[in-house]
Formats: sequence, structure tokens, C-alpha cells
Amino acid sequence: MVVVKGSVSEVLEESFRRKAMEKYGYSKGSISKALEKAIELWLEMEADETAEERANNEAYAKLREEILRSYAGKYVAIAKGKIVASGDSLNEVFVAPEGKVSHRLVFKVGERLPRRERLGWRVSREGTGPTSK
Amino acid sequence: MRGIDVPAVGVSIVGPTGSFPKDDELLIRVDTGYDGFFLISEDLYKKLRFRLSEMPRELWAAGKTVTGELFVLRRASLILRVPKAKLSLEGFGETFKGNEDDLLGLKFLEALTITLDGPKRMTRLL
Repeated sequence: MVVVKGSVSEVLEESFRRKAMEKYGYSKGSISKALEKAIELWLEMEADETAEERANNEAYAKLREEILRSYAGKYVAIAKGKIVASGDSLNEVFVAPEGKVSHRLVFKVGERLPRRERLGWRVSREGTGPTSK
Repeated sequence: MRGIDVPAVGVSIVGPTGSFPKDDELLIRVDTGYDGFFLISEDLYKKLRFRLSEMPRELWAAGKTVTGELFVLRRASLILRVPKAKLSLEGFGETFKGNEDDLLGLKFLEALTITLDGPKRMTRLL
């Protein structure tokens, strides 16, 4: 085990500490367990992100407000950092991308999806390595 | 749905590269323990090139197993066709590192009426 040092905002620290203790108990080691889990999840998120994927997500973040205003209820596709298709159904935006594209964002604007899901009894992790590319 | 020993529904997956299988259906296990729409194995996610219809990362979910393990679920937009019910459902597929299961979850079942006939080992679409 090693010690990791860094600074975070007080608000984040407080909610992290509270959640860690709720989950792992009010005992020594609960913060470390939660921190380890948080780092693992962050690494998992970041490890297999391609440059194209990053560019599309950055474009989405930048265009989010405009997309919400102009495309509410529609499907939108983003590729190479820009909006490339929109339509009322998924079929309309599933058109083959032009040129060489390895990543694209396709989503329904304004749709609220669950952020936490139970996976059930069957599901477990079998292997390791990067997610499909 | 006959021929296999678990509740299953025959579907065709429509993704960014077309339909799979082309002229048939794929029997996918129904699992009410899974909250989502369609859990896809990593292999199938790769094969059907769902990186071409992924949702923004801020719309991805965290999946939690019964043992408390948390996974980041990559999410992609897709359509599931249920040929026998003449249904076409817009939804999402999700996977995580190391996933080998294909499952239809509660979100998928919201659109269907099905009965499970245990003695006859059948899943009936109504």
C-alpha cells in the first residue's frame, strides 16, 4: 500500500467521506477502500478512451446546450467532433458514416436514462483488458 | 420459444452496421434481475461495432452486481426487433469489461407481455 496525496474541494471531500463511511462503515480503512474503488473506476473509464471518442465527448459537452435547445426529442449523431445527422428515429441517424470513422455518438436528446443499474445474479466479470474497440 | 431451458426471446439487433442476425433471430435470455434494456457481451459489442452508436459518457451508467461490485457500463443506442411480436423497440445496449453475457432486462420487458410456462419450458409472447 502507498499513500496518495492531492487536494480536492471541501464539499467533495465531505460527501466522499460521508459516502465512504456509509458504505464501508465508521472504522479505520473505510476512506482508503472507497478511494481505491474510485481510482479503479476512473482508470476503467479513462483507460480505453480513444482520441476520437474523447473528441466526440468534448464536442458533446461544448454543444450540449445548443443540442438541447435545437434538437429536443430527436436523435442526434456526432462524429469527428461535430453533429453529422439528426432525425426522429434511430434508423435515420444509423446511416453509414462518411470516411473513416471509428467512433460516433448517437443519442436521443433529453432522454432520461437510469444512472445506476442492478445487474442481477448471473453477471460477473470474466476477464480483463480493454473494452472492445 | 422452445428448445432452450431458460426464459428467452428471439430478437434481431439493429445497430450502426445493420441487422444481426441478417435473416434470423437470436435467442436472448430474459433476466429480471437486470434493470436495463439489453446487456451485450463484449464480443458482440465489438462485432456489431457499437462504438459507432455510443452514448455520451455522461449518459453511461454504473452497474452493480449482487455482491456489490461496481462496473462502468458503456452504453450504445440500438434497436431490438422482436419478429414474432412484430415489434421494433428503440433502446440501448450496454456492456462492461469482461462481460460474456447477453441478457434482456426489465426495461425491455416493459414493452412486452410474456408468460413463462415452466412445465412446458416455454416463453410465450402474447
